Amino acid sequence: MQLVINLLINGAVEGLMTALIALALVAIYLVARFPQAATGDYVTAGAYSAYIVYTKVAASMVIAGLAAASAIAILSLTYFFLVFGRFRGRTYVSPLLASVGVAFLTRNVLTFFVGHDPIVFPTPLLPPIRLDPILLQPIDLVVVAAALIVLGILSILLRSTDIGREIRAVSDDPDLAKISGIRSRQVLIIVWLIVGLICGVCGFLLAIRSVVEPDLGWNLLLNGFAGAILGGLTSFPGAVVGSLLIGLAQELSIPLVGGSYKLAVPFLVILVVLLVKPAGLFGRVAKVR
Amino acid sequence: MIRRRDFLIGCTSVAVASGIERQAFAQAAPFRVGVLTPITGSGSAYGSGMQLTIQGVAEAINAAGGATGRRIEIFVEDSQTKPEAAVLAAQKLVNVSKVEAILGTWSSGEAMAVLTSVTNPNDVIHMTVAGTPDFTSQAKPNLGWQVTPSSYAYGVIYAKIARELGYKRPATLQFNNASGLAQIQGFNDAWQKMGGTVVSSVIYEGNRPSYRSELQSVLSGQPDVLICASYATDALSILREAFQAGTSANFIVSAWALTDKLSEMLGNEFVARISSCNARLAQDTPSVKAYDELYRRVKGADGSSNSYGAMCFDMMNMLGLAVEVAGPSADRARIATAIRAVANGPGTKVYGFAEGKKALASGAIKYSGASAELHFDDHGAETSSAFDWLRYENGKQKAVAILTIS
Amino acid sequence: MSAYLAAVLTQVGIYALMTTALNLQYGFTGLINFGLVAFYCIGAYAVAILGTLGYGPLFAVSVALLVAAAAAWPLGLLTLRLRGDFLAIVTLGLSEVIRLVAINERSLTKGAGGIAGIPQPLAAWSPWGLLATLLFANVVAVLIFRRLVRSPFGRVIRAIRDDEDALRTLGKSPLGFRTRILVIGCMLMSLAGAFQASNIGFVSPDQFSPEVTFLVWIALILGGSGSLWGALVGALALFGFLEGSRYIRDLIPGIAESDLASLRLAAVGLGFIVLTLFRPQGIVGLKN
Repeated sequence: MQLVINLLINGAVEGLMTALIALALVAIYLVARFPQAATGDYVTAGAYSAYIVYTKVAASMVIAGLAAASAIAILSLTYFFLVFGRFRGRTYVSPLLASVGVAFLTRNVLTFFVGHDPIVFPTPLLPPIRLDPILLQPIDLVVVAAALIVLGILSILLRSTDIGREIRAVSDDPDLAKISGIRSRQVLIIVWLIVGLICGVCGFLLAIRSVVEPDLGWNLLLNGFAGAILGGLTSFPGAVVGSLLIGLAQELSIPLVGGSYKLAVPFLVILVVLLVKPAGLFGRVAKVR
Repeated sequence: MIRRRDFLIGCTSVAVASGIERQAFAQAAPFRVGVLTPITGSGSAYGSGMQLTIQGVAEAINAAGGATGRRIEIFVEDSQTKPEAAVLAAQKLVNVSKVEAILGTWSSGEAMAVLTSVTNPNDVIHMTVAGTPDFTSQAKPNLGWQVTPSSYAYGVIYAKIARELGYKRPATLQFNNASGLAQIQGFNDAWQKMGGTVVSSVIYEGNRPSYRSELQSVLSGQPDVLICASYATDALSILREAFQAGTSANFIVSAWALTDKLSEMLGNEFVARISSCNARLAQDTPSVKAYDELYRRVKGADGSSNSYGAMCFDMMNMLGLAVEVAGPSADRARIATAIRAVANGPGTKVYGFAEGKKALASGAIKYSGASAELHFDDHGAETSSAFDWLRYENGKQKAVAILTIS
Repeated sequence: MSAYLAAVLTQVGIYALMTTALNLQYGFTGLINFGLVAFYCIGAYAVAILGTLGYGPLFAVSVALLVAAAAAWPLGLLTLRLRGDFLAIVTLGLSEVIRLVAINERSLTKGAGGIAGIPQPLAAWSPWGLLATLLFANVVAVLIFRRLVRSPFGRVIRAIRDDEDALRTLGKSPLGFRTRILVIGCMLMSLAGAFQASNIGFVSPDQFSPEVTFLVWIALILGGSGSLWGALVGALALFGFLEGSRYIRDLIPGIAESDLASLRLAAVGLGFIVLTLFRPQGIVGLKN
């Protein structure tokens, strides 16, 4: 029983981190209509940034986290102006391939300067908090808190602000949005900025919890993609719920199928859900024109 | 008292002789060696160190006048830890750079793919650190050399360590690949023979950001010792999680998983709970010292932080000495046969190329390695049966006893 | 040198086969197959297992094709009703499941260690024998593609892309046609795997990660999807990029190998970015 509860907690924590990646994917898909394949590498860059700031500038988790978020926000905007922002009005194949190029470029510029060796973030090691039968890791509490804060801010942003309204409008119908005076390009800039911030924070959270290596974000991209699809690909809450579900299912399946086949579980979950609800958990049916 | 005339004659002879030697060095065709290691990909924690070590040894060989006067010329390629990429890299090395040997393949996939499609068909010498038994069974005679004890043998020694420490409830945690499987197989077989049972076992896939669930699953049976067949990156993750999980279990971990970061990260008290083993070396032999010095120079870290580095150190030395022994007009087949003579002996024990070259003047030599004493069977498999049991003392790895496979 | 070129061209040929198959599935029919490595894997393992058990190459290849078809048919029936993006993730999931099966079901596949000693029937005429056969296979594949596109069957496919509802009123089921294309494409991918197994003489699960799917998509997009020869051009360009970048070392002598590896892949990434910005239709494709 203790094991099941602990697996539940792990699944939830990992699901939350995957949710951040899924959110980034959904955000870009909503406004630019393509799967952003470099999302994982933005996260990796965030992890390395956090490490560099923590070890070379200030040994403070808060500063490292904020620095990571800012760094990747800048990275994201740079790529928007140089690459992604130039793809208006084309099919999604071009920006998709470009995002693959961006992924390769980002990862390898990083390794050129930092090398290929695995890096351990000097997180202070703390013993667990024992609330029998549960074992809580202090690091997990930090991760959950940070992730929830990000989700909360995002939620408020989308629902209650003007910019949030505009994002939703542009994602529903870009042409109509333009006619009604919404500044599409400015909305795009804001979205890419937000995506950068989210990826930076996610990278920081991964850095404090895992070993940092060049493929860190890329290895999670699949699960992030799965979470986004499960949620319906066009829904933010869907991305979060989908990722959580996948995280939980994956970890809880270990006693049943072992540590290897657990990686197949997310896809099984998706298959089952999509057979019943083809648009995903919260997906909307595509509009007919 | 040296008379002036003799002195002049002496100087002139030396000058002429060194001139001849320099000429010989310049005229003999270089001996081309290919280095194919995982610079990128899942083996990247080791690949760069392996490559730099081989290059360092080659430089030392050249500084000592080359092997039979032939300069060692190194060509490097990245295997990317992928079999298909490794094959193309090996094709380039063999067919474009015309290397006579390929050193350093790491993963079983790379090693086997390169063996079957490139080095066997082209009769190229191939030395690997991959632990798969298929390598030696598929390699052509004298062309395939597995410069690492078998993973199965390591597993057997883990069982002996566990017994020495009085453990009764082991659990196993393994990376899902050929080596991990073989280590745990070796452990299970030996442990069963000793009449024990294994409390729980979990297999995990690599390249994941966290192994906490796998660790908790395997610890749920309350083991007193955890056998981890792991690599550097996952071991760092697992041991850190184990520390934070507050488990009272102790650990037996694969030698190549223990990097210098471990005591730094976890503290001396925790790492004192970790045991490991590696092929037996007289710890302070000159080859170990030379390797450590070299690794520190090229990579800035302790030689013991990359077990494969030591194996690569030995590869290049063995090959260099084999070329020397085979003589100036030897073809590749002669050189390949000479490798066994150099590694197995019998002969005067030598610990490096320069020393070996000099000792050859008075008879046969036997190279004693930095990774193991070195002894190869007819198939090119390294047959170490004696292992050093390693533990941490004040954060540094030390050999505390010798255990053998009997 | 020529042996090296033959080796590279052999890889080009194998990937070109898969790219043509993907061109059929995506370029022509609009099916997003993100799991093509699954069928590549099936073909390779079928030849590996049967070859090492002593069966002849023709038998092994036939089995490879049949198993691929047997896997693709239910996949099609099950998932081709889904939206394109969802088909993508389901096929991706399938490929991961197949890879995990290859690693774990040791009694069938010998697990992570892989299967060595696969007979290499054309090795006697190496390296050109296999290459010639591969070239022949590619030409056949392109001809199949062309035949399908121009046939009445092909007209139906094009109709599906344009107006699915109209087609349904005529009583024709798009699902059946799409499934057939899926199956034919997957059989070609399996054939590519069979070639690779014979080429290398060894298969292991780490050869069948999503990266292969990924590379084939890149090849297709590089060459220009939808065009007849785009697949071959794309595969050639892809390996041109990948192998060519190896020689950056000669431009920067004395560079550390670790830095070179990074530079090389960064150059590949930059290349893709530039290509999509300035020639989005691919090398052979026509501007829409």
